[in-house]
Amino acid sequence: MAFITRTGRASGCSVQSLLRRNFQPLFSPHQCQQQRSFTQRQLSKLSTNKLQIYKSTSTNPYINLSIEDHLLRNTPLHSTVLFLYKNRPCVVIGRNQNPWLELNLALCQKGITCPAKPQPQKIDIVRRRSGGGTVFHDEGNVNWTVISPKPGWKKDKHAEMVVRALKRLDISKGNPRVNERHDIVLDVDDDKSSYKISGSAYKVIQHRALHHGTCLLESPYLNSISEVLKSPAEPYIKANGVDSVRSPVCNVGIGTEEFIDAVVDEFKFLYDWDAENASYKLDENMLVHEDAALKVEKIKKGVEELMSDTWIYGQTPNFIFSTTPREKPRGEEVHPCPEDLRPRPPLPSHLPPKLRIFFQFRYGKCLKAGVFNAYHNMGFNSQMGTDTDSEIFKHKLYHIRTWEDIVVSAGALDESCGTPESRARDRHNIAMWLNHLLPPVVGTAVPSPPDVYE
Amino acid sequence: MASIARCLRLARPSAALTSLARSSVARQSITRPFSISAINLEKRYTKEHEWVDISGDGETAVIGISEYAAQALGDVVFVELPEVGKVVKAGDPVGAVESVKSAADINSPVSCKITSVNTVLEEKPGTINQLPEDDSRGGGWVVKVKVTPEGVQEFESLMKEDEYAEFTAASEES
Repeated sequence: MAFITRTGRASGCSVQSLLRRNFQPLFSPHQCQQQRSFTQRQLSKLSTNKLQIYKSTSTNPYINLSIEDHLLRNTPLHSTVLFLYKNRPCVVIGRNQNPWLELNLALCQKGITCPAKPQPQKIDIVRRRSGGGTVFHDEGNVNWTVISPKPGWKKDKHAEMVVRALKRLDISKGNPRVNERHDIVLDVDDDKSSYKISGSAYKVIQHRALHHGTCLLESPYLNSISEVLKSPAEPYIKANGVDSVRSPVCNVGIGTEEFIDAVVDEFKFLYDWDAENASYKLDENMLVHEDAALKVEKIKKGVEELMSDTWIYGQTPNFIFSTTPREKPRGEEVHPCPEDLRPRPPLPSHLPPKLRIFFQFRYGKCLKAGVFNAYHNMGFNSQMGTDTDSEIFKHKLYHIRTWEDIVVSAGALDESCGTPESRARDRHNIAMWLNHLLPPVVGTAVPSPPDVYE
Repeated sequence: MASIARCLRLARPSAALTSLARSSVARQSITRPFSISAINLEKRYTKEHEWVDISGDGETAVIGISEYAAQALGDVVFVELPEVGKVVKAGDPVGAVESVKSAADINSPVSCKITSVNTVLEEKPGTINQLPEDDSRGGGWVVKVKVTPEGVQEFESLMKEDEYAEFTAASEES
């Protein structure tokens, strides 16, 4: 039951088709009757009010994170903003994390099920702009965001606000509190354990600080979370960037709308909403719909960026994949690899027993590669890295369609050993294994703008 | 004139080495007699805790985060670096540091063009905690830049070392 961790995959659709997909109102009909919606104009030219509250009716994670970023960058510098939203099932990795290490990418593409929803549900892969580790979202989880001026900003201030909201709801299961990692945990009396219910992350820009957090209330997929957040390649990858910390999680066991109302109330109390907003026209019941949001150019651009493979996969810091404990690759001084001396699990029995595979990728680009069959004792002479024509250097890792194309072009298996049939079988098995560990993600993300890092 | 200033700069000890280097009074008294132009070559600081140090040619500069910021951030686990060649205005991000779940932008104190990035930080992000104001090889500086004429003007309006010390002391109290 892991919540925050290490491993990533992306949804394969255009902004337009997203509009047609999975639209579920966030708020119940009786509530909607009392509520009004932000127009495109109001979202383009944001209010100058000191206190502002926005609730999204979209469950599209790319749109919600882009609305959030728009609010961070465009609300007035003196304002404090609360934004609440729910996402359809997705995994959200931190700004500087590695999707191949954090996620079971194949499972995200295949989809997960739960007793209430037996149809496989695909999981969107999202890289957010804030720091921290990987979290799972679904409609039983509410995301809360507070954007405030940087001076005087404290990391625990708004997690404490959410704890007060939870306490007001009288949770029978246990006692919520903020822990030393700025997360909210529930101390459960029954088994004297603490379970994480909310994870925090932050983005700080020149004058503004954003704190957002999850809150796991009634997730139907709770039991699948740890499986989604476990990469089959984890024993072989050593990555720069940020690791996740695995924590046991649980549902709080209250309704999402109840929670949203309580957080709004606590926010209003904390910032003295009634005094501040007495003369303002906007109230806390305004909703953001995705059609209005997507008409705002900055939000639309944000969605395109978040959905691009150069953002989701191409922003992955330097990492090495190696099947044997080994030291830094030779001749790599500018961007040396971290050493990875961990013992590795035994190779599957259908692979050549002395197979060694080594890759280094930086922002999706392969810098070093080697597939060797050590029983031929071919050492570095057989590594793909000596042959710059090798397919591995022609594609970004996230553009590989199948590892068969790559392994066939590698001068890895000594042509003087074995039979043509056995070599072909070895290559096929190696490719299948790599397809399992570093699954092709082509077609899961939309076409993207030029790479930032080259 | 420029060459004299450059020599002085070379003779200056690294910021990480000694508090003597922080004595702006001492440095001022040396550099002023030679200074004909309006440019005072001291290191300057922003309210967002970045520093910029323009070298003797009045054009090339190094940018990093202050010791105060490095302490306040906690353990830095990753540093995002910009592309070389990127042109930025004062206040635009030239990278970001991640620490304790927070990705915080590093903003350029002046308008400039990025000429090189400190790749040491890619492998050893903790260097920025240890030697944040060290602009030598192995130090925790972030980018080297070519400052635009507009950027030189902006430099003049930034805080000097003693002013920055007062500024951080005041924000500690509040």
